[in-house]
Amino acid sequence: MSTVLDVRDLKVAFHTRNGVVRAVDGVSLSVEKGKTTGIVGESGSGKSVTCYSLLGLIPMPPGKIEGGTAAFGGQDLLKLSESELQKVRGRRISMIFQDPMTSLNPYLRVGTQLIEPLRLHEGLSKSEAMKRGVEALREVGIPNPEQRIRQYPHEFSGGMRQRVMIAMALITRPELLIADEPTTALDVTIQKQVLDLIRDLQKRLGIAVVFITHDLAVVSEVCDFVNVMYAGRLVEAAPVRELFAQPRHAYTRALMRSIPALQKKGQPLYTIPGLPPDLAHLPPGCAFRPRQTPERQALCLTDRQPPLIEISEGHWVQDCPGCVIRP
Amino acid sequence: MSAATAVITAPSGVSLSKGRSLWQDAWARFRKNRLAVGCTVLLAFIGLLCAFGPTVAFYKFGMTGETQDLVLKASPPSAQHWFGTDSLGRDLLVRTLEGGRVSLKVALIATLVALLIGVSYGATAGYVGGRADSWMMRVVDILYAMPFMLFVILLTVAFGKNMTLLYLAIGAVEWLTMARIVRAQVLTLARQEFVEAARSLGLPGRMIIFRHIVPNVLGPVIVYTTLTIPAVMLLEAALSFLGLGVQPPDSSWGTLIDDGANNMETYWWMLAFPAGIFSLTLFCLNFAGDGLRDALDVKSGKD
Amino acid sequence: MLRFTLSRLVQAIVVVFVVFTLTFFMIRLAPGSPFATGEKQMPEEVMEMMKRSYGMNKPVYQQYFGAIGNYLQGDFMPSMKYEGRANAKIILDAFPVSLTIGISALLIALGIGLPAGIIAAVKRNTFLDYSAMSLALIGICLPTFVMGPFLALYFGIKLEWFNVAGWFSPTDWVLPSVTMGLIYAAYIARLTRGGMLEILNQDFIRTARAKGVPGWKIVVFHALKGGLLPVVAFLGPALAGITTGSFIIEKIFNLPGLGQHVINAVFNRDYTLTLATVVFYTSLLVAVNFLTDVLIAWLNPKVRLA
Repeated sequence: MSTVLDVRDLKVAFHTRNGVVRAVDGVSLSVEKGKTTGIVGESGSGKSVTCYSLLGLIPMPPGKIEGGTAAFGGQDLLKLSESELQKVRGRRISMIFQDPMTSLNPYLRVGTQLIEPLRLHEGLSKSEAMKRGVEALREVGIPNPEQRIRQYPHEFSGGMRQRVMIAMALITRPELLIADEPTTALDVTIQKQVLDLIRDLQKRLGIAVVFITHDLAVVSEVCDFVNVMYAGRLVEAAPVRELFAQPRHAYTRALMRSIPALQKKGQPLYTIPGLPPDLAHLPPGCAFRPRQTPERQALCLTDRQPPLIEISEGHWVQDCPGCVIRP
Repeated sequence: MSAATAVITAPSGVSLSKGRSLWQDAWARFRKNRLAVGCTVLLAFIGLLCAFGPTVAFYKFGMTGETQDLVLKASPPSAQHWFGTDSLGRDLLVRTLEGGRVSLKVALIATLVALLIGVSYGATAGYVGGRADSWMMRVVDILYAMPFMLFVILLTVAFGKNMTLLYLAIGAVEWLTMARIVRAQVLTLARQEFVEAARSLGLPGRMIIFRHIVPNVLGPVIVYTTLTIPAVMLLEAALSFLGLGVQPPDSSWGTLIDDGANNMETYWWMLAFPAGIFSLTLFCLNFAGDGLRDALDVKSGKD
Repeated sequence: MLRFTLSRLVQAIVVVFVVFTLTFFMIRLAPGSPFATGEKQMPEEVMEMMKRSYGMNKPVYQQYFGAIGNYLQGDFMPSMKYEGRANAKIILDAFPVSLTIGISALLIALGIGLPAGIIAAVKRNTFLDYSAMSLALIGICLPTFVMGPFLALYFGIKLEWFNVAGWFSPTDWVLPSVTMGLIYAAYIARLTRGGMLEILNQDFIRTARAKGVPGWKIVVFHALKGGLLPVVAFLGPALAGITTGSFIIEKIFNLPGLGQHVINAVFNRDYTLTLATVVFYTSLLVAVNFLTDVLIAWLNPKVRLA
């Protein structure tokens, strides 16, 4: 089991006019070859920023990587210059994004965009690259690839566009694929197709995948290991089955309770009370405390961030007395 | 999007505020833009000067823009004549202010003309929709392609130097874009869900138009109006410069600049001051307009 | 696309026709006559003869259709003021001057405005951006009849690099073109910056970055096509502006261009020359608008393939 990516204590902040927003506050995670690591959390939990900062894709004037390391292929991604990062992006680490409608350039033909990584990173000629492009489209299940490759994005449906994105991301056979909520904007039936496609390709190509999502149902489908983030911090991390069987942190448990499909019909849907915290004014102690019941709130740490401990094998949790359920 | 919208500030620990209407929001944003506010103040200052300055000059100094001093003739700026005098010895400061009166008056009236025609035309087209709308807009498209300037020149030269004609002609050039903007807004608004909702509640058409559609159209209209005023001023000045707009004995900034340009080799101040004030006014109008646009348009984004 | 092109073409022809008609009748409605010569009163018989030679003794609508007929055959008829000279020749003599200035101005405007706008967008909110946009704003606020005399004053009179009037030496085109060029450069810079910023904020630019595409390639290959759309759309109004601007420029710098002919023709009630120049200008404008409309539609893949 080789580790493809090893992130330690990543800290990313945005220096805005309203204060310093600590989007990522000391997150560590690792990704194994051939496995899918999930990052779960609400909007604003820092899950996307974590991954974007690995590739230097956050806007750096307000954004700043304040600490941590990210070991990948013998290099620390966080210390690379822009030109060095350009060699990694699209070639060794690829990303696919949430909205396939807007993530493809409407002014360029699909083929042009699709083969761009090949021409850029492998120096292929246009005709060679086009051949690979047609193959790539076929691989992701797009019919008539020879004709489709010359079309424009608006001539594809949403699900097909996402397949094109996947083809584009994997055309250079990267070692790591980061998928930022790739199915959130799609219909449920198409969602399943795309998820199956990703899993399929992963098995075939042996790539490592980081899967960002807020949907626990999707997590149970695709991920091998799950990291749960809240307010820029990691609150729990465990292999997927273990996490669903024994969620230890109050936040994880609350998330599980909120899955609509698991709730009784006729009852009001469960929602976690309160709102996510203002990342510009994070409390020094447990971040989840304000949303706890009053009795448990009294037990939460208020003076320091709860440390991550390995509560059972491979299962880590933020050790806050108010939030953690001990075995 | 009408009247009052409650604003929930997300982070916990901050109380839910009472709610600000869009206009209050916009006003707050505008106030923050110091440049726009500064320009508006400066504009107001210039406007007041032009409105009352000549009167002050008359009562305090017994001077108007026509008081000639044939002994002094043209002279550079001095203590008695801050902007200098022109070739007939007339004080340039007063002339500039009087010219400003005319220029500003023409600008406002012509803009009003453009506004009235454009808004009624556009609103009707947008509200009615359907074939009437597409024919009306086709007329606009055709008119848009016509070289209006040529017609304005034709009109002003042919029919004499009539101020009313000038207002109408200049207004006629600018109303087209206003019509387009208004029609686009009304078109989208009339078909939006909140109008459907209002209608389903039984609100009469007139009420829908006034309480829901008009406030939302006002935004772009205001913005475009602030952009039209400088365009109109430029047009009037250009015409006057060519000798086609304002005629003697009246003078506007355009005619003053024309005089100045003719004499620029020897009497530089005759060009510098009117041109300077004119440009300054345009400058302020543009910045204030930009500021208004940023404040009112939620989607325009910061850039 | 084809349907779009055809409908635009039809519109263009309609415009020229409408302008033709309006001009024809409007100039005849104006008080005064083409043959009034001021102090010297022309004897009746001579006046009658002149009128007849121009066909003015016929009823107006006959003259109108006659004129249409002439124009369709490419005959722009002779001028009434400049006896014996064909309008077409007058136009052809004067137009090259206006054309040179117009095209040079446009090239200067694009040459300065496009790079300025692109750089301002790419380096937004930096010093480069602010200074470029401030200069642009100054350009917008200084009309031609202010900028022209100023430039003439400084470069022509003070530094004596150029002539400030006339069209004799080979450098006479510089000041007029630069005057107009700078002002349009300002508009183009702002439009380019706006267009580029809008594109650069889009998701697909983020995708391109994630693929490892270097910065300049993103600008040139991914952003430019969409970002320049506002500028292309502006070319139509820009040309209209340059046309009218040329009237002013020609007055300031005393150039024998077409602009002065238009104005003088109207002043002199020269019916045929007025008609000829107006129709000429209109056709030009309409043609350019047509071409830019088609170009914009073509640049947008959604419209092109419809």
